Order: sequence, then C-alpha cells, then structure tokens
Amino acid sequence: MVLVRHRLTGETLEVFDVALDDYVFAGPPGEPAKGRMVHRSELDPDPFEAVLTPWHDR
Amino acid sequence: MQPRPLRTVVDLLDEAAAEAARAGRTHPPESDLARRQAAEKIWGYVASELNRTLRATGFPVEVGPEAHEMRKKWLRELDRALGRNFAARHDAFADVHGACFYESRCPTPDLLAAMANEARAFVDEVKAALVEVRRRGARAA
Repeated sequence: MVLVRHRLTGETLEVFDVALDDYVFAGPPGEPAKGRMVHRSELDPDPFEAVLTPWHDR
Repeated sequence: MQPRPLRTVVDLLDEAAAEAARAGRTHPPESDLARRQAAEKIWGYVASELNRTLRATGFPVEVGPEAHEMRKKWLRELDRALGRNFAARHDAFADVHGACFYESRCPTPDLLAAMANEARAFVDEVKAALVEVRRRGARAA
C-alpha cells in the first residue's frame, strides 16, 4: 500500500494507480470508489518514486 | 498501518456513472479528469470483481503483473467451454482503460456511462458462466 499526504488538505491518500502523465488515481485508503485523479505535485512524497501494484491487479 | 481490504463493490460503477455524467456537464480540464476517473473505476470493477470471483470458484489469479494474463486465460477457457466471447469483451474494457486512464485518450461521457452499465452485465454473465462450468464439472465427476 502506497500512502501519501495531500499537501493542501493534509489528507492521507492511498495511491491506487499511476498514469503515464503526471497524474495518479488516489483516494481514501482502501476505497477506490472514492478515488480521483490527483497531480503528483500535490502529493508528498512523490508517488512516482514508489513501486506500486495497481489496485485492479491485486 | 495495517492494509485494509479494498471495497470493490458495485458502488464503483455508481461512482463511475456519476463521473461520466459530470464529464458531460463540465469543461476541460475537469471533464477530462472526470472521464479518466470513470474509466479507472469501470476497469477496476471489471478486473477486481473477476479476480475475486475466479479465485472464489477455484481458478487462481495471482496478485501482480501476471493477474491480467491469468484472468484472460480463464476467460478464454470459458469461451471454449461454453461458446462465449468473454475474453474479447474483457480486452475491450482493458483497451479503453489503457487509452483513457493512462494516456488521456477517452471516449465520450455517454459512451463511458454505457460502459458502466455494460460492465455490470458482463461481470454478471461471467459469474453465471463460472457456476455453469462448475455444475457441468460436478455432473461429469
């Protein structure tokens, strides 16, 4: 599970999938139904540095 | 923190339909992001529900990069056993997800809304087919 912090809201988000541009699909931990596209610049640490199994391959 | 199980229930499709509707009444960049979110949730529903159902009925699907090919393998076997076209339909969902979520080349909001409905029907058909195959297997044994 890759957890990050949203820089503006302070939310803890799980990164569920990573797109080919600078966006990830992230949301409340364990709740992809509530996921949304988030730009990597809004997240700490940078989710593109993490090794991730997309949620639909788990 | 202990990992919590993913909630991969039908509210994913309700959320995907809502994203598609929002894409239809907003403008870029918000509409583009909404379409990508819809595609991710539709595909996530298809893949995770099929993974869960296959595993529950005795057809193993590994976690990780092999999951996609293993899921397709079982669907091809179902196609052969029952004369269906599940593997091709699965690939169609995967292709839209690949183009839309990963590359931002998305279908129209209306098409995404239709895909959310189709995803539910597709998964239900596969579940029924798995029951049928197991029933046949039990009868043969």
